[in-house]
Amino acid sequence: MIAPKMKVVAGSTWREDPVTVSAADLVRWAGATEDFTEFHFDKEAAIARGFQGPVVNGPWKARAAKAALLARIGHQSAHVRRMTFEYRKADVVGVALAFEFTIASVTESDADGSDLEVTVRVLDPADVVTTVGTIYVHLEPQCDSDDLPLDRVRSAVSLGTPHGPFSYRVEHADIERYQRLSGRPEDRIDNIMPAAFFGSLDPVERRDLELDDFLLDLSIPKIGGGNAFNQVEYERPILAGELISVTTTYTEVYEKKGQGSRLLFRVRENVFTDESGTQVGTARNGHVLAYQLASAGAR
Amino acid sequence: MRDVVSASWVFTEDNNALKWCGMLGATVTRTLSGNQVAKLDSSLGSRFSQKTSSQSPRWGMEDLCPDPLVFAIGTGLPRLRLLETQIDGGSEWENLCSIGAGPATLVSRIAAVHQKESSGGRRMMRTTYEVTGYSARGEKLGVARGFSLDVGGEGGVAA
Repeated sequence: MIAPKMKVVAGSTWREDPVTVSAADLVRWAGATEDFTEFHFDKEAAIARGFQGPVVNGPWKARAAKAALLARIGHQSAHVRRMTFEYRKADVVGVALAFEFTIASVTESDADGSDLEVTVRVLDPADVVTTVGTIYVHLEPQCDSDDLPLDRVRSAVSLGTPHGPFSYRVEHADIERYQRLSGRPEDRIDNIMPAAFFGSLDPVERRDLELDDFLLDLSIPKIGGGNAFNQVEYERPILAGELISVTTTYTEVYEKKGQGSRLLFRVRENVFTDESGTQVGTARNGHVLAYQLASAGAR
Repeated sequence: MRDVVSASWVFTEDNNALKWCGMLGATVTRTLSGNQVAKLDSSLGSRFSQKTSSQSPRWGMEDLCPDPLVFAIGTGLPRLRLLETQIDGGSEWENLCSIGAGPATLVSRIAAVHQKESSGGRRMMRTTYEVTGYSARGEKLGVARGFSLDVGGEGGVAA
């Protein structure tokens, strides 16, 4: 378990230790963003523009505020949904800036975690507010044990309920390229979809169907994953040019405990039909994600 | 032109400003990587966290388009000069889905021009430069906005 570094409560206010921005920081920022506006790192250019020194980029302050907030609340389980900043007054390098945060609201849901609205103020040494902003953060539910959220996954994928149909044209050029890449001799290249090509008609592999991406944000460390098994059966050859409709149904969600890790399996079945509505094939695919057991991580 | 004076932002009715709304910049393809995000984070030093967001499975528009105003101007959109002084007035990032490593297409445009009068009686105009990100599959990833703020008295419109 990765514990949050602070208790998230509406009304909480804190101020981070002051941060002094250097010209070197802004040169790095310029390189990463390709913003080479001179008054951000050249003192003479800044003075010529009426500033007392190189000006700290507004988006740098926004990024710093996000980093400070996520570090404070434990960013392994948090992600930003939206953030908005207003730059009210220029800050110059070499001046200490204070980042002040207030949790304006917390909306909790047992299944989906919490949504935070956090207001940010950046203050100069005279306590003048130079920047204001709001960051909306989603926190995934914390896992207090090794238990994987099987019920949540089953609900997310609507176990037993068909999704789709999704329609895909089987392109001749794709089949031909696939056959060549898989080593088929030139004189045997044809217009029949190879059995192993089924993945190209899989809405999940194509990311047209994404139901359980919250698994990316579980607070249990993920240590691996990939295809566990694939099984495909065709009623008849599928030919280049055909329009195939695919319906995906998740049939099983289960776990297996290994030494030091826990494996989460999601099994789905795809049914392929042609333009007349006739079933032309089925595929059964298992995907596995491996998570580190908390007890193993503690060793 | 009818001069709209308001304590809050309202759409401008200045035709010289409005004529720029909807203008598109050049479409840009950017490939986000952990290395690129690490470069952005390196400008923060180690002040806030020992772990950088380059290790996060979820990146956002703030990683893909860290400075929307600079990015939009870089795609060929004009930096409007509506009043005497132009400053970077703010930024906004909205994430609609997670962004992974790989190419994304960014489309920028001048989305709106608003105006208001400050409590001190200064006239202000705000141009919204909007950058929309799409995945290689055409999925909308999110939106970043940069706000160019014009402050001062009357001025002509010049790119």
